[in-house]
Amino acid sequence: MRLRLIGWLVVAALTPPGTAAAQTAPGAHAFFSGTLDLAYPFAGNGEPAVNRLIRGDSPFDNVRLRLFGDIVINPRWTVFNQILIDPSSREGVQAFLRSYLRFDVFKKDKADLSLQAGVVPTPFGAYSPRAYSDKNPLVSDPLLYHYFTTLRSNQLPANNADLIRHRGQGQAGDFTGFAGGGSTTRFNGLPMIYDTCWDVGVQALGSVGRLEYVFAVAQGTLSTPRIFGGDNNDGKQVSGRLAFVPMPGLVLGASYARGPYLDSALEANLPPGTDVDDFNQEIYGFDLEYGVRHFALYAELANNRWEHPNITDGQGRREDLKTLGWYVEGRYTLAPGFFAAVRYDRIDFGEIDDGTGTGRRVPWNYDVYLWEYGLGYHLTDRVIAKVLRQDYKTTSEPHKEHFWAVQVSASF
Amino acid sequence: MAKRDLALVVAALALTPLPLHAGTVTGTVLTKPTARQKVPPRYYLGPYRSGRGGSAAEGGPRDVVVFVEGVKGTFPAPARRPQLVQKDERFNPHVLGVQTGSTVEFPNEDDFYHNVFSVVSGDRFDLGRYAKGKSARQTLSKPGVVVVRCEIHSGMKAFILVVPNPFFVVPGTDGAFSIPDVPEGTYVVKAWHPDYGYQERTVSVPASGSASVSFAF
Repeated sequence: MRLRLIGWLVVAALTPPGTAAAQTAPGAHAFFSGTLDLAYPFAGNGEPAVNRLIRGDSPFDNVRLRLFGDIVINPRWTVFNQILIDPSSREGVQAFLRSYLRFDVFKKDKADLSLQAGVVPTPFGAYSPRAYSDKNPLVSDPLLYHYFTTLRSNQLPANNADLIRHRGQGQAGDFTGFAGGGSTTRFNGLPMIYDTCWDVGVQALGSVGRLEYVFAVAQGTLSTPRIFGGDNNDGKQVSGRLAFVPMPGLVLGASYARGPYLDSALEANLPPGTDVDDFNQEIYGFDLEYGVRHFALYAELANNRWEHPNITDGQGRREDLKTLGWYVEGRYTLAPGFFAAVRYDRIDFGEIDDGTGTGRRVPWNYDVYLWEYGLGYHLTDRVIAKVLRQDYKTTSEPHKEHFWAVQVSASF
Repeated sequence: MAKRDLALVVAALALTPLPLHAGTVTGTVLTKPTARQKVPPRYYLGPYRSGRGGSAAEGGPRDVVVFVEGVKGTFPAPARRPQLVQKDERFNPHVLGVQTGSTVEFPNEDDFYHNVFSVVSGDRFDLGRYAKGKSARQTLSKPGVVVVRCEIHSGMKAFILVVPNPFFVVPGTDGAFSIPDVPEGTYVVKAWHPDYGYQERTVSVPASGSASVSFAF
C-alpha cells in the first residue's frame, strides 16, 4: 500500500495541474486531479465525534488528500481510480482506494447503457456524487450515510435488553460486550449506508427517455460494504435506483437494496435452523434535487430495517430493527463566488420491546439530530473557504454538542 | 438588426477615431498538434443533468488570441455581443477574445441546466441556473483573463481574454490572422494561449500595407 501511495504521489506531482492528459498507450489517456482539504474545528463544547468514521478519520480532520487517476482506454472503456489519504486520522495515516471499470455498451439519443465493475459507487440515493469537498457546500456527510448505530455485523446482542443497554455506543467509539456471541474485538456499529467505503460489485446503469436507472449486485450490503477479498458471507445484495427527470432542474429518485449483512462467523451463534443469509438489511428511499437560478435544494429519506435473530417483540416473535433517516439541504449563491448552505439531518430509531417483561417499548438507539450551516467563498475558481457551525443533539441524557469549523478546499 | 442595435453601431462608428494612416497586422500562429482530451464524467448523472461528455474539443490556433497593445485612443464598447455557447457539456469556443466593455452572451443549448460563473478576475459573476433555449449575459469591464466555469459541471471551462481596444483576433484553424485598421506606429503585438501564456513581438505598422508577425506555441 505504501509503495502504491508513493507512486500515486509521484505521478500526481509530475503531472501538470488540472485536467492534464498523459498519453499512456496508443489512444489511451490518463487524467490526474485531486483535492486537498485543510480543516480546523474550534470554539465548541465538544469534539465533533458524530462525524468520526470507521478508521477514526473524519471530514473535519486537519488534512485530507484525495487523488483521482482516470484512464480512458478508448471511447468505450474507462478505468476510474481514486484514493483518499487522511494523515491526521485518530488512528494514524489512512488510505482508501476505490477503483472501477466502466464499459459504455451503447449511447443513443433516447437511451444509453453502461456497465461498471469493481469497487463501485454507492447505488442508492443521490449523495455519493456530492460527497467531495468541492461539491459539498458544507463539510460533514449526512447522518444516514455514516452514523454508526449499536448494531454490529460480527457480534450479536443476546436479547433486546442487551442491545438497549449499549444504546449510543456505536458512534461514540469502538465498543464490544454483547452477550450473544461473535467477535470480541472492539468496533463501530453499523451505519444505515456507509458511503466512505464502496462495495465490490457490478452495475448496469443508464437512461431511457427521462428515466435514469442503476441496478447493482454487490458482495456486501449498504451497511457492510466489502472491499476486495473481504466478503463476510455468501449472500449478495441486490440494489437499484430509478430517477425521473420531469423537467430540467428537478430530479425525483427512488432506491431499494436488500442483502444479508451478518458475518458467516456468527453461524454457530444463530438459532437452530437459521443461517446468516436469513437475516437481511432491507432499505428503500427517495431523493429529490431541485435547482433554480441561484438556489439548489437536495433532500433524501431512507427507511431501513435489519432482520435480527435475537430481537423479539416480547411474545417471542422476531422483530426487525428499524431506522428512518432523512435530510434537507439548501444552497444559495448570495454573490458571485459567495454562498450560504444549511442542512437539517436526523435519524429516528424504531421501538422494540425493552425486554423487562413489562411490555414497554423504547427506541433501540438514541435518535440523533444535526444542523449544519455556514458560508463559503471561492478564493479562486479552485479554492473554496468555508466557515460553518454544527449543532448535534441526541435523545440520550441531555446531550448537545456544537462547534465552529473552517475548511479550505483546493482542487488541482 | 434591432433599431436600438443599429443606433448603437452608428454611435460607435461616430465616436471611433478613423485612422488616417492605418495598416494591417498579419501573420500566423502555430500550436502543438495536440487535441484537448475531455475528462470523462466520474459519475453517471443521466442525460438530463449531464451529457455524458460529448466529444473532445479541438485545440490548435483557435485557442489563441492575438492583440495589439498600446494603441492610443478611446474605443467605445462594441454593440455586437460575442457568444460563449454551452453545448454538449462544453463551452464553445474554448477561447474568446473581447474588447473591454463588451457584453458576452452565454446561451444554453443543452437539455439540462448550466450555471456559468467566474471568480478569477475583477469581473466576478454568477449567472445562476438556466435551461435550454435561455441565455444570460455579462458585461466585462476589466482587461485580463476571465476563467469561465459551470457550477454544475466541473469539467466545463473556457477563457475570455478582455483587451482594451478592438485590435485583436482569434486566428483561423490554419493559424492565419489579420488585424486591419491599426494606426501607423510601432507596437507590441501579443499572442495569448491559456496553457502557454503570452508571447510578444514588436512590429512597425506602416501607413498603408501590412506588417507580418508569427508566433509558435
